[in-house]
Amino acid sequence: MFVVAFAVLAALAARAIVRGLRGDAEHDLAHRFLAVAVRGLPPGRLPWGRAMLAELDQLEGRQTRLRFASGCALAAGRIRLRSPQPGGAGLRAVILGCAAFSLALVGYGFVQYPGLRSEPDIWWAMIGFLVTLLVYAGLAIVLARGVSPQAIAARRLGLGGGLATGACWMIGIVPPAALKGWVFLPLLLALMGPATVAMCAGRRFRDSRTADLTALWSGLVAGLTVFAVWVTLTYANAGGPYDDGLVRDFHTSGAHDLATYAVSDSLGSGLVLLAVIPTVALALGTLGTRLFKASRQT
Amino acid sequence: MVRARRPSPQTLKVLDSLAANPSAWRYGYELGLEVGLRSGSLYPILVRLCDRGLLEARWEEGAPAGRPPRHLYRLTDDGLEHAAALGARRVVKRRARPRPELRGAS
Repeated sequence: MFVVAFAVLAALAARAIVRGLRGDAEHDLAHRFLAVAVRGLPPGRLPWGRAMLAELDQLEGRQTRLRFASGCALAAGRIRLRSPQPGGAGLRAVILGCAAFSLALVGYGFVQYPGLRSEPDIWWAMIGFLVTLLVYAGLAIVLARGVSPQAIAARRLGLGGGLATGACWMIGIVPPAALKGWVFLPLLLALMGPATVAMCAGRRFRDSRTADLTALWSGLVAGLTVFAVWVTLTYANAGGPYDDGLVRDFHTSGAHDLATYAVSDSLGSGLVLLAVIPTVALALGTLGTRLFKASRQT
Repeated sequence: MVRARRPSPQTLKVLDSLAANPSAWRYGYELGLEVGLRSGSLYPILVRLCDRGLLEARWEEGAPAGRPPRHLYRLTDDGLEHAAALGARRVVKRRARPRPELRGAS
């Protein structure tokens, strides 16, 4: 059910983005694509973005224009990497620090539970985990920069919103006894958190890019926080508590011991959360921003 | 200040092409076609050359109505000197390379 809900939300967000791109009737797809790609260049490099757009406007032929625009988009990414803007060190430190801590946690698991190394498909899961962490780190290094009020607000709101969203996810996944019957409430808050902070940021600056960045930061911070806390709790309880279903699956799995099997199961869940939480946050945040924008225009 | 790092073959091509007609202002797409570089490689090279003071850029004046002015480029005096020095160094290197002995030559 969760996967279906996520797919529907992601499709709605994608549709909203495509509609946003199509909204500019004056220019073709190549121009709109390049305009988006050069929008994030540092202020000192913006004339280069304008130069690429001006050059594109001289070209004819759909294929030629698309090829030139995609090359320029790549160039804009390279220029951006080579001209780092100041600012954002705090958020970068949080995301990179949490990513390093997550990597260390998984490494600890391999040492403490050697049976994990012989689990089927464990190395595919490790590749998935490393790629996910690289995406987190890459986004933090490239996008968490800038000293404009919009960039600072996106980082602050994203960090605060991400910690709150992460806490809601944890309460929803491992509810305290008093909240057992109300699990849907923290999970609802966790789903709404990034969209809410994104809409706040978008409303304050009347800028959808600030809103999208806020949603992205809150998703990344929440994803890493949940993964780190979830895996720490798993190790602290040796994968427990062991429910009947887990024990039954263990007997048919042929795994070394129950603790290793339970830890492996929890690490798998942690990895899914690490990938799903930021994706859901970004999808809902983007959708929230577009809906807010649409309601303002009508 | 110009760094002493050896430029890439692509950068050398751009420098050579611009140095071939130093007084002319060139634009990105034409330059890319001439040196066989896609826009993804060309623009980072132009940015780097500009940063090092080897290239100057200006916006086209009197662009026809209905299209935006182009960004134009040409080498600065430092850029010309740099291109000439690199060209001379390449010629010396080529000459210094030992010729292979011909089999059967006496």
